[in-house]
Amino acid sequence: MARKPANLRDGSGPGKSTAPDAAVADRPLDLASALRIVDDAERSVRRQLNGSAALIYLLWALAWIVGYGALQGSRQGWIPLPLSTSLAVLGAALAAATTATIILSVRGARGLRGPTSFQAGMYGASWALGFLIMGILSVLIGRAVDDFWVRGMLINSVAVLIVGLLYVTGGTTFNDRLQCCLGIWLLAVTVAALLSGPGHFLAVFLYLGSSGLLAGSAFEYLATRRRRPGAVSHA
Amino acid sequence: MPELDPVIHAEARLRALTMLNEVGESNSIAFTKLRAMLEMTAGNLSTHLRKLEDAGYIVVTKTIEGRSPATYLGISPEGRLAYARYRKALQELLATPQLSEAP
Repeated sequence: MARKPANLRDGSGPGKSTAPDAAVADRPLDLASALRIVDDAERSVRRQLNGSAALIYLLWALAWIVGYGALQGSRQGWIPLPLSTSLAVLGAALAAATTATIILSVRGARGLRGPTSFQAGMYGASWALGFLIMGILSVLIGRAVDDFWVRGMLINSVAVLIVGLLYVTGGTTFNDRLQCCLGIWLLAVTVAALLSGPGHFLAVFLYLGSSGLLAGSAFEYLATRRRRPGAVSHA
Repeated sequence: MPELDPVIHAEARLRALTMLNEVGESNSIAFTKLRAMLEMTAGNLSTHLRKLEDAGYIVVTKTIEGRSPATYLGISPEGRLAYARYRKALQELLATPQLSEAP
């Protein structure tokens, strides 16, 4: 099927086609090299279009370790911080992770057009609306519940419930099994936190939640890491 | 013995078509983003994309974003089919012992 080639030399980048690597890249390949190129290209797309998911999971794991760690440490007396300061640390850690996630996700989606772009937009809007509702609910729970730790357990459990559900939704939308698994893990952590009660929910989020996010980051990194470039054989 | 499509079976075009296949048939990606992902020079990528376009494997769309021209690239239905055939042929050839062991 012959088509008239479009002029690719526009202001978006293309120039002269005299690059020295052009001839090498045009030569046919041996079979093993072809398979490796396919595998590397698939990893690269996933790494670059997913908004660096491994980094995002790592940032959230660190935010949970710092935030819930400060609160738990303050409660148990490991860290000489008043509860109000620990709460501020948790808030700052979660805000920093949220900002970084938005920046990385927007960067990953930039330059794409089509249904995926629409799905990503709707998914992003769901996060924003979910956490708007979360903010309103937090105020209402704060007014209705007197006990500091019961209040904390309810607010954090609702927040992690939203995250878990959105991870499962995102994973099914973008065919990302790891994100689905992480969402299910966070929902299981929420169940465990609620069942453990106000006395232990922080430990559940700190140890089980953070370790799940760290494991998710490690798995995503291994699945999408840039492999050491090897010599490509040309047949 | 299955044959590998010579339009696809070259390093730069194989990498580009694999990426466009992953981006999806209904989606398109900006030339500049694809170039950055492939770490190729604009001219080199342009040459290889033209070969894929001549074969009907990709669709090139030119548009204006703000005040700048932009080029978007997407895999065509023919391209997806050709890529699927290529992957199948590659797997079959690799499963043939004397061929997969060849340097």
